[in-house]
Amino acid sequence: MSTTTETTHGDHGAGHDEHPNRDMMYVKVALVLAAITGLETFTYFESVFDFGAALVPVLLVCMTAKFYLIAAYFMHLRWDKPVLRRAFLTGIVIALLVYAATLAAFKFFASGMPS
Amino acid sequence: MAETLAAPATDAHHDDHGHGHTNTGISNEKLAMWLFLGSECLLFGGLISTFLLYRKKLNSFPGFENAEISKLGAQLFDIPFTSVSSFVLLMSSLTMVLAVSSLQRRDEQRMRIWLLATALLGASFIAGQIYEFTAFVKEGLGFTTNIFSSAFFTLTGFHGAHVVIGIIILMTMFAMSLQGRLGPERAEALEIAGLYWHFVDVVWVVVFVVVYLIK
Repeated sequence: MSTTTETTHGDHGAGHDEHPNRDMMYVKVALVLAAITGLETFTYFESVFDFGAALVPVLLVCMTAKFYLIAAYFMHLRWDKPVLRRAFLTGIVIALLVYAATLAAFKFFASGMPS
Repeated sequence: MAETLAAPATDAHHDDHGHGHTNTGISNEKLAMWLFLGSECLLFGGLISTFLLYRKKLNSFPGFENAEISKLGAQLFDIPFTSVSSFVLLMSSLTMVLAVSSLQRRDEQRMRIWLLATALLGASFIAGQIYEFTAFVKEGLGFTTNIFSSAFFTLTGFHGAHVVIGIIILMTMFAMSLQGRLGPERAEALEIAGLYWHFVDVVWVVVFVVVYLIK
């Protein structure tokens, strides 16, 4: 791979170790993602277990965990240059701020319905 | 910026694959993809916000005049089916990252297998989405039935279009590999395509919870 990538992946060594074999780690991450998806699906079956008021927080935590695992491990943000993390996070933060303001303007957080 | 100061020695050079070095140590193509993905957050943020605002606007859907969203979820969405679709898309992210890893380790044969598996899993997801859309239309919920359906089809349709574009990119790379134009020296091109694919997966992670699971 190019020198560019060598400088990008800080924990890479020389030669073939330039790209360490992380395949088993990717499989483990995928298993965790599958387990979280199973938990998310499980929340739908209220007759089996009713999460009550905890439903939305549980789902949001599951969603955030999956988002983090994919971005950090599969998209390599965990090992890549911090500037890439910042570029992506900037987009996410701007989107969250803009659309939180939009939803607030439509009184979404007050009633869950647009006025 | 620290990385700007850290890599000035190579600024004026090009690597052995024709990529110009940048003062960030990251190729322009990769940085451009990440900036593009950042901007895509705004696109999907807008679509998700619109859905959240109008998800209870079911007025003109027969039988749902006074329905609550929980009733809609229970009667219209097939959650086990959508969960399987979500699982399929998640696994396509695994096969994608394994394809990149294989090429970086110069195992082109295995890379092609994982690349093809990724495209097939993506196509399975799209097939599931077409089945779901068809079922909704047969139930009487078309694109213009009510504001809810318009917001729903726009959001999931835009996501589906992104998946289709991703499949086209993957198949193009598969063809390039067969022609010997996607060797280990171009592993970063595959990695960049992978970033797009993983982003599409990440968006579905949010859509699955916000649209299908939160009542």
